[in-house]
Amino acid sequence: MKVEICAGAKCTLYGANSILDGLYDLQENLHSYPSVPEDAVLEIEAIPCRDYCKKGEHHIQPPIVFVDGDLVEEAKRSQVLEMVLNHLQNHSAE
Amino acid sequence: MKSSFEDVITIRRMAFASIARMAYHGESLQDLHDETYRALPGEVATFRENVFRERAVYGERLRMVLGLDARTAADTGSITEGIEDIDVNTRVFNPPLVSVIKIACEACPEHHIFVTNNCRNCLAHPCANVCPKNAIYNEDGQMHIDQDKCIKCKKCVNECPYNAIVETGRPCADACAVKAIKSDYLNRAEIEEETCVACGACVTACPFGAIADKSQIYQVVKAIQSPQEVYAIVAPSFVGQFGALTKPSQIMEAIRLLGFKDVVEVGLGADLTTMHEAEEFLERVPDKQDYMGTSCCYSWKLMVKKNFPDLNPYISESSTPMVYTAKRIKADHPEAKVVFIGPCLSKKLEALQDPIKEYVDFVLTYEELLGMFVALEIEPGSIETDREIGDASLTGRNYAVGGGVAQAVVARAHELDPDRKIEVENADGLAECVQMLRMAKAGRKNGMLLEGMACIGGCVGGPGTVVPIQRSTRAVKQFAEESPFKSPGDNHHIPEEDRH
Repeated sequence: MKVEICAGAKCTLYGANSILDGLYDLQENLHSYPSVPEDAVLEIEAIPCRDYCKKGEHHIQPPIVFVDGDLVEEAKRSQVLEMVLNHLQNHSAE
Repeated sequence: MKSSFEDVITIRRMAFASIARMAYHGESLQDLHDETYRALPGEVATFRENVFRERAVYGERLRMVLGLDARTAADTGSITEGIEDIDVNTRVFNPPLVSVIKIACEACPEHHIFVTNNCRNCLAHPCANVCPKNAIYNEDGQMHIDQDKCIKCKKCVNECPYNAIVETGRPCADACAVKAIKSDYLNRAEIEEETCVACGACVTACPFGAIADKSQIYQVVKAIQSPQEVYAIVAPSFVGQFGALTKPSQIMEAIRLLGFKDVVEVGLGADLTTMHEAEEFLERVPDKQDYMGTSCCYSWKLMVKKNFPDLNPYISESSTPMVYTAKRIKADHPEAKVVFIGPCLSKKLEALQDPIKEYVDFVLTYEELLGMFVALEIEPGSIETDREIGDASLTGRNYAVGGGVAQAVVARAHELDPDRKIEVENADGLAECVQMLRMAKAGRKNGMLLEGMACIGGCVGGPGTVVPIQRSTRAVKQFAEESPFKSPGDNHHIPEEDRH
């Protein structure tokens, strides 16, 4: 599965680096967590700002993360990690 | 910078962005009170136990970002008290630089050994048996430690089969290698200014975000908005601070978009420091002195001055990279203002010293810079630029990483005197700096070049950084490799007379 984290200025101000740290740590220790399939893969990508937090009537709140393409706004580190871990434990990589 | 302290870090950075926005948009500082509502709206607290306290703390934090003192609950009157004094476009600085926001401090107990409620009150009670001071007793169904008797030997901690005994204390005091954190009459932390070396370790260590330093963001923006030209000089650790996707040239361009006339790498000054320090070492050690300490970390130098005053002459007299770089700009543009941007809090103090204050007008951190980008909605990673950066050599750029300074000096000394072998020791963090000097004082470091770095990992580990140290270290090293100059001697930005 793939997680993308916005590396823009506002997302950084609101904690994107902490989420990134958490994900790198998860990636490194992936197979020490229970019931993560052996073929599970976690892909992490820092992405450039797409201006979601700046435009539109409803500003999306930073930090912004996409978990397998689904947008998560005002993302928190442990929230993202839980989503990723649940996903990995429930699906093996196709 | 500990990224897992995300809420503490976020509040701090929000305050920088608040003040930067108010400054850039010319909002009246009389509206400071409204800013606490704007940042923390509603009636449900986000960060602390109630919204009144969190707004009050945020207000004091805003005052510190403006350069004012944080106040105690005894005198929190109007949030705008004294505001006229700082609403200027020149440097204001009311010491101390680093202080405790008293209304945010939770008065954590000082360092002690403590039996938690994990205690099963077991029959064996090995904790009490091993205690060499007979300080552990049974009362109300669990064991207790008589704090007056306890000598903190931790025998009981290791003996308990339930891990029920812990060593605990104040994160701020634990982080302070010069023991500058005392207690006030309410047991809250208090920083002893005579002892503090402004390394900033306590600022990032406090889990309640109760310690902060003063900022100059507001006055920098006002200077930028005035007719004077303002130049930025960026410390070698700037690379990678705004994410792996943002190139150094984009950061420089983003800084220009903030209103700076131009941006120069402090690595240029680092090259000059390297050259002076190498010559100094060859000349002074061992003939005139037994060893020499490096010159570039101001907290390290302050620590030597305060804790080992008789060793002060052993520290290099070369100027710091910040000073050399600022001097270069002032030589070409005498009327211009110079803003140093770095990872460092103590540079704010260094810039107040005579004669340095003539060259460096303001000091900002990367976190403060981030607040300015956010205030103006500047996205460094999205800027298109073909700017080439080549102010500094490979070894000058590596100043940002622990060990880099000594490496640069040794490499340069080797160029000057190929036969000379120089032994080096790096002190990584203020605690190691203190330890290294104790050994030096005892004559155990003779002949050596001693690199003192108050921050663990070097400048990339500084309290004003944005990115975790592993990532920025990698970025700095890569950028160093990209330098057009292998040695400061090759750097043609340095005048010929300084190169030999």
